[in-house]
Amino acid sequence: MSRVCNPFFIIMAIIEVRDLHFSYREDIEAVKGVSFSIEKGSYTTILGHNGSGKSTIAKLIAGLLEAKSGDIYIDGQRLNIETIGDIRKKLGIVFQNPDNQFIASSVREDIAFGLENYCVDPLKMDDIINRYAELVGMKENLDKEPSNLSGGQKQRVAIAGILAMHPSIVIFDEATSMLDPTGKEEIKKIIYDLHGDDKLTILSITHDIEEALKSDHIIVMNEGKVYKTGKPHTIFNDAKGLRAIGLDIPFTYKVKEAMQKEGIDIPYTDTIEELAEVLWSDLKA
Amino acid sequence: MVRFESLSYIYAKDMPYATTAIEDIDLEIAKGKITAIIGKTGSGKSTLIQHLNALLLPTKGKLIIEDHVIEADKRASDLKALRKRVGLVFQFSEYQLFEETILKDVAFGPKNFGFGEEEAIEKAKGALKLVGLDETYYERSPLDISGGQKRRAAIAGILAIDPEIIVLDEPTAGLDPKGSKEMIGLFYKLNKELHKTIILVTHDNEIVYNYADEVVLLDKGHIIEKKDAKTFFEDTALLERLDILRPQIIALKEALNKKGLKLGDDIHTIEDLAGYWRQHG
Repeated sequence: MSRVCNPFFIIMAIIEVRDLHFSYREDIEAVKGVSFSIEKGSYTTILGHNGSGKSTIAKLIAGLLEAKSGDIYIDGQRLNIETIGDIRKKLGIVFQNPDNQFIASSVREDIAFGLENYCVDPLKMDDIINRYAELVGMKENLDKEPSNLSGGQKQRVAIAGILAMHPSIVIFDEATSMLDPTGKEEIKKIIYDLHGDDKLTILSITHDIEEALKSDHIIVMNEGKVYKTGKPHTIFNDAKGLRAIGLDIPFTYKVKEAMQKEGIDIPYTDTIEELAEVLWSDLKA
Repeated sequence: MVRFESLSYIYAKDMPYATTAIEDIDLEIAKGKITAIIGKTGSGKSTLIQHLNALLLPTKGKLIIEDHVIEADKRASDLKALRKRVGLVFQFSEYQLFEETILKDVAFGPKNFGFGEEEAIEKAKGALKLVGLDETYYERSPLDISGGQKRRAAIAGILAIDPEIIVLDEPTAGLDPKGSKEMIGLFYKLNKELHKTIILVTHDNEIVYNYADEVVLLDKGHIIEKKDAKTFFEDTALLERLDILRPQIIALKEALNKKGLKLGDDIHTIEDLAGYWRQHG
């Protein structure tokens, strides 16, 4: 408990998870003693293959599942039955399946749903809806029905609805995995653009290594445990370890690896443009 | 041999909301190759492949598969023989697993095609071996295994009837990288070792570029392009015009090209690229 009273902790870590255990069935533990902390305003990805426990962690943090043991602190408050109401107001979650999240009959009504639940003044509501629809690029589609929207567009509406409620944490629980490539890119761009707002902490559960490469911090999960945490560079430097647990490294890292095998040393890069620049200068030299 | 001849399909024909899903399709799909059918959501890919085992009958035109002819408004002759020849694996096929055990589930197909209990079980065991599920899986519930394994069990159900042509609709959708890799390995093996004709609908252009022989591009129900997969992705102008995501190696080649380095059409992989650097660097 002492750390909760430490002002340094309250300022820095918005999510603190300590020795968390959880089982769906008595004989198999899905989460086996997980601890980590997430800095306020950061963009963190939890990376792992299916069955690694990464989605379970998201549901435990959102209070949708109850841990068998261990503690979760959100913004300095310990998550329990008394605090869950308060904590939920600070936290929004975007799920995997866009169809399960669209509940109203138009984009406008869907974004309004959460606001109505929070008793927002109806006179102010239109402004709020317009602002967040614009933020996710759906302002032209406010009167469209869900059947006329793509998966990516439905996910964008879900994100607008969540942002309209001013959460301090948004969790994306494999929010891109059911979308086609265009939809994936749309959502990844929105997530990336949201990060940088220091009042908003983003936690994205994913198996997309290219997305993780763009985040501030990565937590790698394997078999219900934290395999490693660190900055993308540190994580993806360990190609052998990642491959052993069924993950891989991003494309730019693979190119560096292949070059190394040929005895050519190039620096690490994060994007294809950076990589092209590096290769080009190497060739000229 | 698979050949579409001026084939069109209209959903809800003669109704006020009739929609033409595919129109005037002329297409020949080569035997023994991997053909990828690509295009945006709603371009007609799924409609096209559902004709391959006569789940949909053409509104106009015809489809010829070896000695079977499927024509507009005519019931296909000997549907059972056709469906034994062409195995269609749906998107999220694991939702169709229903038996108590994996072995029973996979044996359901051959039993349905008239094989006796014992023979059906033998065929099921062979198919499970192909997809990499050993005997420890036989008696397990299909609900009890991972997503990737479930999908492979569902594919085993199709393989157990030993089709010559295997059609897969988005076989890697929703799988994690490890599951995807295993899935790609599976259909590559079916093609290279067992010489099955593979027809693949996918959104993943990395798979198309690295594994397919031919690519067929659909847009708004029409075939826009049919080409050798490697050549297809070298056509920058076409990719740009139809907003097609490039495989990463192609994106890198384009970025280098902009800087003034024109790499040849023979560089397809990261290893090719590294080899080029060793020679020229």
